[in-house]
Amino acid sequence: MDFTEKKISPALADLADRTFEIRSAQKAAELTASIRRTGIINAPYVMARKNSDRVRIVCGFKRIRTALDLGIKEITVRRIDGPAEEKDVFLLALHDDLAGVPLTPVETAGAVKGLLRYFSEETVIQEYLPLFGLAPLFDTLEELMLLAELDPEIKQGLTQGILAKKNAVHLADMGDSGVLLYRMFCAVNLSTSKQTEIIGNCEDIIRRDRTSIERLLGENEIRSVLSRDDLTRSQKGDRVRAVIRKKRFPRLTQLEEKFLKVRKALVLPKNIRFEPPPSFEGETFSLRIDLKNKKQLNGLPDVVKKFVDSAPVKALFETDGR
Amino acid sequence: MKKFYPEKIFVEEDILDLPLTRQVLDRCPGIAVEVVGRAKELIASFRQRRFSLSDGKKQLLLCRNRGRFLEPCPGTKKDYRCCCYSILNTGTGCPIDCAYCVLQAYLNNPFITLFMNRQDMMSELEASTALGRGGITRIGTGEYMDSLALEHLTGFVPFILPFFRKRPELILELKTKTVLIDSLENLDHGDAFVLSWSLNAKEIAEKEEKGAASIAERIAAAARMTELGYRVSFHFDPVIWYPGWEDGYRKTISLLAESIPPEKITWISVGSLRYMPKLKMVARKRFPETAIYSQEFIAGLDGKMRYLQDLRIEMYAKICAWLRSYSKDVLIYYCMESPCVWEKTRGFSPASNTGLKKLLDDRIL
Repeated sequence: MDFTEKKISPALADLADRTFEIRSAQKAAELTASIRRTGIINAPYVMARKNSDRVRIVCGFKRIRTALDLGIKEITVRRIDGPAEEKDVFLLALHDDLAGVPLTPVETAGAVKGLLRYFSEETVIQEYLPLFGLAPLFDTLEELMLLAELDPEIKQGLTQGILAKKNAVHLADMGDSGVLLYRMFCAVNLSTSKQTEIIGNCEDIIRRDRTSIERLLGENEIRSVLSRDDLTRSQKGDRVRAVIRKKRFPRLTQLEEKFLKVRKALVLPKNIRFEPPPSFEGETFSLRIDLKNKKQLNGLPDVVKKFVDSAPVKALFETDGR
Repeated sequence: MKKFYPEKIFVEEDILDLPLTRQVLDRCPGIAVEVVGRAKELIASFRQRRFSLSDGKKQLLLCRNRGRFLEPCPGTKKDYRCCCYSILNTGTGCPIDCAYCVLQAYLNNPFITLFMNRQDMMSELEASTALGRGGITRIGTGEYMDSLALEHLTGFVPFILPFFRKRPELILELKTKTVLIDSLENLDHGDAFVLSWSLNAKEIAEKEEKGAASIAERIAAAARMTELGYRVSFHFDPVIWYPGWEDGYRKTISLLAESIPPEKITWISVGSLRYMPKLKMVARKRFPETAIYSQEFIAGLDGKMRYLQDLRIEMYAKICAWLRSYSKDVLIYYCMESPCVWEKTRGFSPASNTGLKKLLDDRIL
């Protein structure tokens, strides 16, 4: 491709034509400051539009938008001369973007979706996914397509860091139910792993009980937590998580609650921990005693005897047939 | 039940002239054949394409097994009782499509694959010093594929029979969900095999075992084989909880009781659904309607997902009671269960894996 450097009014650039735009349209304060101070250092690439003075932007959407915002009357661009195939122009835009700061997952997905306009799935997988540092597998492409087609709300959540990529992909796979869950996440504060747990548990509940996310989230127990003003967002998140977990694992949570009652009744000193078998699998309970000094060591037989003789412990082991 | 014929066959170049390859190709006339270099490369290339496990189940890959043919069952030896089974790998993958099949997540090879280098398998069997050591060695071919689903192509059973006939300390268990027993009907089997059918509640078989024979057909096939003097056994594995499960399993046990005298049964195993965590995602994608993964599972001591122990105990206790009402003497054992569950449902637990093995060995002797 041949280029000619030209000075044009940024107003001639067709910002509505986003065929070659890969980066998100968010403004960058640093770029505005830089252009205000020194002007555009790297000339954007454009291509002429047939029978028109206007030009299509190939690379440099942000630079041109910023120039317009700053009221700059004239900018230098590199105009592609002569006929050029759209796919070659797209690749030019792609390589320009790959040379800069790493693309976000959503930007990568958009770029790959763009590549699929011009190349077969196999070509994109084998030749282009490695360019993004991704494994050349169909599964990777499939995940990227889910990201590319994300509901705009979820996409925003991913961009703003409310959601991690894996959870965004999972929500995208759930369709409208995913959007409803995302809205609930926005109302609370939950770590990525807790969000993952809630998504998985909700999916299981709706399959098992033949219900819907809408009905599940509309249940009183959840709505009342979300509407409480005296709770922080983190507290709301934890309580909603507990409600959903209890619905998902009714038997397990019943066993946990029963054990917690026993442990509470024991009023154990802080250096003693009494734990049930993990997930109540097997029959090994554990008793851990931390010792700091000889005095505590000497008192150990009494501590253990008191534990063994306590009614709640006896009851626990007797009812369990041990 | 329809016999499986692939839409296409891939053949590794260097096994083209092996007798088994020629036999399989001869038995699949008119089916497109593509000669490829290495299976590994073929599989890798298909992972770069839109090609699902469901697509792979329509295609057959004939290749060389470059690993071991004989291996111990990958049971968890530490926390759960394992019966010390051995596996003979004749291939991987299966035309039957079960929603709970572990192979969906365990293998990265989507094709139904058959190993053609049988002579290598025989050499390994002949040379093995582990076989028959410490009593009977039970060997199965049903771990990575159905033992009989491809028998019409491979003729494996008559091929392997002489080896097992001359080694009475070995027994080959052929596990299946098919009724493809015609090739076994005229064999002078000499008690070298145990023919095993996987059984389940009718509802589970219909919804979650796509392409398998019905429960009634499986039991009828087993009954026919007992008439021919074969040892038969049954595996209620995986037992799956669903609303109305009691009725479903009780009916299957009743049908079994009506069809086969208990003294003809070598053993019955029971095992609840368990799976590696990765399987849930893979299977859900392939079987969007299945709800089998949505029940109360916890991570077991071996990292596999299992029903909560209390639920397993409830299910096993009921199933064993129904089986016991059918026969007081038939050997019932659990596949991969903890001593605690054995104790609580059976009143005893094999003292060790060897103890469980002995229970099964005694049924062969």
